[in-house]
Amino acid sequence: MRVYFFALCILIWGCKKRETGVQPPYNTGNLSINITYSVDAQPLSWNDLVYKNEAGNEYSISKLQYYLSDFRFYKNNILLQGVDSVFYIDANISNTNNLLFRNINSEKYDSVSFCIGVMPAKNSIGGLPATVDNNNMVWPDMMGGGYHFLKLEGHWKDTTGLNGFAMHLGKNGFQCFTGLKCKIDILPQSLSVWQIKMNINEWFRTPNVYNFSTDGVYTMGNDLLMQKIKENGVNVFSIL
Amino acid sequence: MKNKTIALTAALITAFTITIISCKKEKTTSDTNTTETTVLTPYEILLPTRFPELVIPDDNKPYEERIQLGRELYYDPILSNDGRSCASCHIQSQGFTISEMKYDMPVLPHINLGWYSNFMWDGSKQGTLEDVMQFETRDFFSTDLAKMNSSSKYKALFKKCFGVDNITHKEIGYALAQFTRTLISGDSKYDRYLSGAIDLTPFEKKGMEIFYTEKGDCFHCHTNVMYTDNLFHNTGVDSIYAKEADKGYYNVTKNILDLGKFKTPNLRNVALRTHFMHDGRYTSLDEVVEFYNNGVRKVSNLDPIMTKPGKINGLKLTAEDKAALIAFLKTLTDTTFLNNTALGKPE
Ligand code: HEC
Ligand code: HEC
Repeated sequence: MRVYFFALCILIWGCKKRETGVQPPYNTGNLSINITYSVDAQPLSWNDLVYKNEAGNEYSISKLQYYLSDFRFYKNNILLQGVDSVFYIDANISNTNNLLFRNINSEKYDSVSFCIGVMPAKNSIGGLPATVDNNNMVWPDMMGGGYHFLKLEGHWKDTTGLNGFAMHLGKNGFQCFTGLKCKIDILPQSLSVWQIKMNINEWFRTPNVYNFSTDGVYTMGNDLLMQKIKENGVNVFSIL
Repeated sequence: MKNKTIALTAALITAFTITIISCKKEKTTSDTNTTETTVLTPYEILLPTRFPELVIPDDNKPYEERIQLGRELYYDPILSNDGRSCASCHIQSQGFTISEMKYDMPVLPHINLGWYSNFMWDGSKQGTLEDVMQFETRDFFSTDLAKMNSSSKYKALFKKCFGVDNITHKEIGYALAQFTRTLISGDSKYDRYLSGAIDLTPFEKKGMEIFYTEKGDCFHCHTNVMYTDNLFHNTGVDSIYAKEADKGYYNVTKNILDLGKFKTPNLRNVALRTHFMHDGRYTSLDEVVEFYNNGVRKVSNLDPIMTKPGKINGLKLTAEDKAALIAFLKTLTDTTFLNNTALGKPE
């Protein structure tokens, strides 16, 4: 028996060096926020012309890419922890829909706020790490500079046939701040999971009913339309 | 008793072995192929201003010797069985392509390939540069391995660079990937403008403004600094897909939504080309710009970016706008790249 113990010690000791950096504090845990999608009661199915928005436009979705940033965790309306990370999310690439937060203080949080988009401090070209994904999200300097906060694209049926739409948000001032009640219990040194859902139809619903045929199909470069979408963005997430 | 001792000893040995195996990853030698006798010189690929990071597979990190071997191969007709080398069609002075139309589709340029994961006009090859280069030697050129292995020059070089006694398509592809990853164009007039070294003319700036605003709206696909998103789009070049080759990405996915989609071509050095689009149908940049201005066909899977209100009836660019846009496209010509002797035929 003692030999087994000895062997085990060697095993542990032999690998110890591998742990680099500082040990995480014992009163923190990790949090994974998992995002799923729906269009009201329907699941998200790419390029399927099966959705209808509040204005009655029949539409499909071909692209949904966005950033989430400035996560803040609260208890009794007191801000207990903020996280500086910016997450790039492509609804079509599953691993980007699991946001991992390391070393969150162990607490029972009751609400979370965050930003759909990139906070002004990082919203200039080069403000985010130079990855191909981030580069594809660049919002040109001539149009205000920074990154697209949202690209929601697809097709819709008008009287003449299928047409495209591209709901793009970007430019400082058009970050969308939102929040959710939650019950997140971060236990020391364990992983908690929180599921949230984006209802894509909410981008077109409250407070501004968005109609492709009267409002237009293209928001980029049009502050009025971006404002509508930004305001609607407050309601797109809910807890699962 | 004896059995027990043996069992315990075995357990101990196992524990040791596990320790060693489980800790092996710690060693950071990224290169597993280097033999003990040769030491390769690590090479740092320098990225131009604002370029995104280059993701390089762990098993083919850049080494000077491997890059040089790739360069030898790129210019050597030994790879083919008909006297051609890669450089017969991918000519440096023309931007590693052929400007005239010699085949049924324009030769795609070898520019900044290291950032791609989709290759060919229709996306028929996907993966890493190592993957596509193995295809090039194995399938496109059907490189004769017996011929390679009987070359004392290449035997020695592959032994030195990859530690192999027997050359296969894999090592040839890896070496080609090493070299082609260094074919980086990032010193055009536009790049120098970005880094603050020079200014563009007001006319070029006007073109840049059209390119990078909703007026021309070119940047969503021909993205910031890279000038391609390396993805597939139907831009309304055709409304019926008469030739097989016009079906584009559909030929790969067989998904009807992908009909007429093509990989966004890289616009760097585009002014050197004389045939444009997947079948070379346009023979000047004027024609291409006029296509975007007035010729986009309305098809059901037209990319949403192409269907914004202003674009249904064309971009409504004036003659001067169009000329400015072309003047801007010409600032993407990179003479440093075209003349860089380190990328040319080895002595
Ligand atoms: C006979 C002319 C010819 C020769 C020789 C040739 N190529 Fe090409 N290459 C082409 C053409 C044409 C295309 C575009 C093909 C397509 O899109 O289907 C192409 C495309 C490519 C691409 C894809 C580029 C992109 O942007 O997707 C790679 C990589 C490539 N060639 C590598 C090579 C290598 C390596 C060699 C030598 C082993 C080689 N080629 C030799 C004509 C040639
Ligand atoms: C929706 C994506 C998209 C947009 C927006 C777009 N392009 Fe393209 N571009 C493409 C694709 C895809 C092709 C190849 C089409 C084909 O081969 O049939 C292409 C081809 C070209 C070519 C020919 C390149 C070559 O080597 O053959 C030029 C030049 C060009 N585009 C310039 C522009 C300009 C200028 C604009 C803005 C007015 C623009 N593009 C907007 C996707 C786009």
